[in-house]
Amino acid sequence: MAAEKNKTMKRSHNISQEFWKPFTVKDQQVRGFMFGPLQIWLKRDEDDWLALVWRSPDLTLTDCVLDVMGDPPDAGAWRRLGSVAASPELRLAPMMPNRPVVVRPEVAYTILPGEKIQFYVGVPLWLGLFSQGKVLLIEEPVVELSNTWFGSPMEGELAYAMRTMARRGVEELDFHPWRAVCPVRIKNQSKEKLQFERICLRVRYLDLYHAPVFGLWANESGLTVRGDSNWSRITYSRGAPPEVKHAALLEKARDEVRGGFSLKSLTGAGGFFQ
Amino acid sequence: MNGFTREMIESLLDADWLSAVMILVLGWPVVRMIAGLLRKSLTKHSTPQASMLGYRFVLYGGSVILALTSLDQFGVPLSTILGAAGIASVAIGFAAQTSLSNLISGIFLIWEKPFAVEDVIKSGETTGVVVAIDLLSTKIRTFDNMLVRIPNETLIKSQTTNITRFQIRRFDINLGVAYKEDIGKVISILKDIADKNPNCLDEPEPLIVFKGFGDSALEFLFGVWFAKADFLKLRNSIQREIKERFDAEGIEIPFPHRSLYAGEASKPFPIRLVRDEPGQTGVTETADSDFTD
Repeated sequence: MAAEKNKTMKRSHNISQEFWKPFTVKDQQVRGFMFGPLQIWLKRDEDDWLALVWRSPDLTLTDCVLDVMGDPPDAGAWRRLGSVAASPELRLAPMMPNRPVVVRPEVAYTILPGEKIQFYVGVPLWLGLFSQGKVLLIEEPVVELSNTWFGSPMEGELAYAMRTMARRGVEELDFHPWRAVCPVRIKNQSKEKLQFERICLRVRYLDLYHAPVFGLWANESGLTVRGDSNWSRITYSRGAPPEVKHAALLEKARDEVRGGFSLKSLTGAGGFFQ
Repeated sequence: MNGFTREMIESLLDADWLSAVMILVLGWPVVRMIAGLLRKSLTKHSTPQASMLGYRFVLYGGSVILALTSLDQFGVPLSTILGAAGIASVAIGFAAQTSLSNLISGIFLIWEKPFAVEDVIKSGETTGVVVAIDLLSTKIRTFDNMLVRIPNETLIKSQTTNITRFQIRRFDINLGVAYKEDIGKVISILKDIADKNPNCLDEPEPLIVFKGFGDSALEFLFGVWFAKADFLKLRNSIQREIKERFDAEGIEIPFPHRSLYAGEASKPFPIRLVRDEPGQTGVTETADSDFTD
């Protein structure tokens, strides 16, 4: 099944592994990195790192460049990130958003008891700049997603709202090098029909894998609904998803989760505010 | 010399002074250390309110136990003192009804938890961040950095609003547009403004209500939801965006105005303009026009 899907999957505007390799910046050197619409310019001023962040309004940009030609944009101000370490080696890393993302399927779905369904979501990434391997100097979203709330007015969680839809088939996805494909499997183990219109994905628990042809992927999230339709048992599979072959772990999740947990992850029409 | 005084003097002469002093000298740092450790642990694993209460409970309770133990070593008859203290407390209770009322209110506040340390509350005319909830009073730091002490009894008796209890809030803006404007267009523009502002929550959806026909404008309520931490960012951005967008779309935000008519309602107020030409006197030009205030 996975092999059949592979044949029809669109190829990503693939990003070279070189983009994630460590590099150095000399004193007074200015260097720009482009990750789709996001540009991070870095300057080493004697003992300090300075950065300037600029976002293009053109969200169709797919180029990933390690050394942007020309001068930094005039917009925005340089900000100090911290002091230069004894070994001034830096590396860029893709990161999942720091909050959950709420995504809608193309249409409202109904899963019959005992059935399961698979979705694919292209989540816009963040770009992180690390010093000494693990010290995070700066992290910026490639596109600024608007805030949303997943829950009732009294309790819930702050999340990002996705403009793109969750797709049933991976071949329908529009690949971008700055989006990671997150497979989501929803299983209805309750005795009632499960209807939903929104899915909340806790992406901070997802690892990122680099597949040579198909770009960045995350490990599969599983949402299993047993009783109350709002509550789901959430589990994360280990390793790269079966849809992509030869994928290598590129970046570990922001937070590690052992086993699974239960949270509200699906809502119907009108969400919690009916 | 009465019996009690004689008993006290005899006890003091027989007292183990060294033990009494040692209990105080060694016990006090130990009590402080235990209270400090408890505060550290509660700060990590619990709320600031619980941390403060735990710290004070151990500190004050430990101090009282230390003092009583030390007095016992001094040879002071505790049963007599505690008995006297009981009688005194009744007398003090009558004299300090207000303090007792505050004290009981404080216990209710701690038990009921209408707000906690670090919440932003509004009580009467005072709005600020709760710094401490003590037994007698609650301390609030206002946004212009003043400390306000509100007796707990006042908080229990009056209406208190906890502004930051929930993670999300709604910011309501009352808007008016000129009567000539298209209501549908105004609603779609407001939706678009909320959609494009990253601080407005997509869900719950913005509330746009056409309230009715005002004296000078078509009146709307535009309510946008936001995460409580984004209040200032949203307040500053959304109102500017409404003004800029309305200007760009040619939508008029009218100021209050009133038309006055003399005579028939359909006819404008007659105005006569008079201009003196050199060498001429009297009326040279007349016109009828609306007189608008």
